[in-house]
Amino acid sequence: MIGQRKAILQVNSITKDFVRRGFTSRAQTVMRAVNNVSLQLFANQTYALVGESGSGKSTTGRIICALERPTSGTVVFNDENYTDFSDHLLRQKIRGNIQMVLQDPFSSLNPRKTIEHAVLEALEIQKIGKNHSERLDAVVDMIERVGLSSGMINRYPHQFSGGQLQRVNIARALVVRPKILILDESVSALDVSVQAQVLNLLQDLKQEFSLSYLFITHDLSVVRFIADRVGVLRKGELVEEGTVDEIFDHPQTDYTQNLLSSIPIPNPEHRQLAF
Amino acid sequence: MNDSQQERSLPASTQILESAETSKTVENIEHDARALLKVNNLKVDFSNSRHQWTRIVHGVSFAVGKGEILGIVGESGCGKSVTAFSILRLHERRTTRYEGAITFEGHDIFSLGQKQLRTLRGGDIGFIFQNPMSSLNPLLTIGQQLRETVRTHQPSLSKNEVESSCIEALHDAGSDNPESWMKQYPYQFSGGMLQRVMIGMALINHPKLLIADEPTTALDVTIQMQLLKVLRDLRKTRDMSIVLITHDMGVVAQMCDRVEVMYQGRIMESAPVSDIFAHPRNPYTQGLLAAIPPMEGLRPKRLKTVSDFLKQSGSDLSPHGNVMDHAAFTAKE
Ligand SMILES: Nc1ncnc2c1ncn2[C@@H]1O[C@H](COP(=O)(O)OP(=O)(O)O)[C@@H](O)[C@H]1O
Ligand SMILES: Nc1ncnc2c1ncn2[C@@H]1O[C@H](COP(=O)(O)OP(=O)(O)O)[C@@H](O)[C@H]1O
Ligand SMILES: [Mg+2]
Ligand SMILES: [Mg+2]
Repeated sequence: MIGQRKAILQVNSITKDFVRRGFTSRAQTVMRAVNNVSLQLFANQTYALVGESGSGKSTTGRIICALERPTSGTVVFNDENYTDFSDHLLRQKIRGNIQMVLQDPFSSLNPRKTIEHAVLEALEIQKIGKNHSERLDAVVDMIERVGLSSGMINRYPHQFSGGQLQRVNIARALVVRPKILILDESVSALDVSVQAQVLNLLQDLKQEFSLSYLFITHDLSVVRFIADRVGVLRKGELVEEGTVDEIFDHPQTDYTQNLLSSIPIPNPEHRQLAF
Repeated sequence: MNDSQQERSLPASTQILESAETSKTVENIEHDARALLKVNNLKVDFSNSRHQWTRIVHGVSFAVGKGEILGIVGESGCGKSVTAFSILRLHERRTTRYEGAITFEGHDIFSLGQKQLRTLRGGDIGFIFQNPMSSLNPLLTIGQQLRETVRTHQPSLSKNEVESSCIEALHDAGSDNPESWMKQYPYQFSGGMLQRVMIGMALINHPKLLIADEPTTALDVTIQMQLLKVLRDLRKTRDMSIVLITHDMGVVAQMCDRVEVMYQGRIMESAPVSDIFAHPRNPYTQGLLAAIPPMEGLRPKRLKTVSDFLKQSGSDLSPHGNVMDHAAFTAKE
């Protein structure tokens, strides 16, 4: 089925090298953070990118979001290769279509600006909306859509809980009506009950706005709920890819098996540690 | 998956043995007035710069038996760390007010002098935190820091004895090469290795109780599992008690004998792990368990949330299970 549908985003053999200056000498070492990774996103689908810390998940996400350029390989959105786009072209054609939400809900919000300002700013950057009052309406709509009340829009980040702030970040990403949302560990720092609420919200929004998610996480326990397809990264390489059922029921590599069997099962009758 | 499948196909006798052991431990605690650690109706208040006091812990009671792993589980901000720090009176003296009683081996923590407290800290009671770097000096080798900890508590040991204590502790904490670890600096270690160093440091004076506050929260699951195994092994080989603080019900299920479920500074439910997972009685506990995305079986369209359960129950959050109240505690004395 996937073979027949057209991908909304194609990542073609991307590699990313970081050059590091030595600590003592001037010798440079090259660190390959992403190695020949290819993947595709389809409309209204969630692709989970999983792997241990340092495996290259965020770097891949940042390249797709055009915050970083790959050393080689291409990224293609709706048949358009944007790998080498200028800042101007990126703003015109990509930024409004591919948005990102990060792990730390505080880090991407200015503590001195209200959340109205934060969400409004996203619209202004994209030059969306005819005038201020039209933009303000869009902000209020989106704030309510993510489960916050419009009465909260004049508050500052520190007046919100982590879960609420993550809703603000989601609102800010979605207010420009992107096609793709990259969620980089976006629920990893949330408590389980809040996490469940945000995951439910993400499922609803995906339907409502026909979104594609790239769901980046080191925590496989949420992947089975949220994802359609899963890619497993290890040291920058995509070692395995498949549907959620394929990956969870028939993992092909020891690495994936180990990741899965290391999730503590919330059932004391199934003890995973030998005594 | 393989590991857990193997676990499941263990001969039935192994599993029965395991649960029999667990329930024996539990029985001991409930009826043994000589529990290692007892926290009775603990209340903790903090004052701000304007000398206004706020209560964070609202009367918490629990006991830890010898060789027992007690879990304290709850969401961020519910007061787990504040409770744990109170056990060693680690909070800033001027701005903290304690009520209630904490006894360790029958000694009243709140009437100990500063010197006795220091002997207890890192002596009979070891402590590990979520972020190992917060307790390590980046400028000293692991060996320098471990030796210092031994010397403070056991000044009479010879140089060789100190050295072998350090090596043994690192070994028990799961280091594959303690001698070389001793020579290295913290920056040369990964997060998982640093946490092993912290466990080693906590073990070094052979504590009877280890308080571990979210020791694996910042680590990858694969590393977490290795460290949990280290902790399980320690309780067996050293007959040590552990208070394991976590927000992860999976960790509780895998590690603990008993669990205290904490919410807004109170214990909501207290029970052996097998009971809590099979029959959670408090709506908050029910919600916490239901909100975990299932790893097998049908994939739900939506996850349940804690608020679903609080709504259902009309927010009846009165404590359930054998939550120790003040009266029960005194009766046992
Ligand atoms: N800007 C950078 N400069 C140098 N190295 C980097 C940079 N960003 C990431 N890396 C390195 O690339 C590797 C992959 O990092 P990352 O993509 O953040 O992994 P993950 O998100 O899976 O934890 C890591 O070893 C990291 O240290
Ligand atoms: N020293 C302190 N002074 C004032 N408030 C504190 C102090 N330490 C913690 N708190 C507050 O007490 C509550 C419980 O915190 P904590 O015990 O750290 O929660 P957790 O269960 O996540 O470990 C939080 O609201 C926190 O802000
Ligand atoms: Mg990352
Ligand atoms: Mg804490």
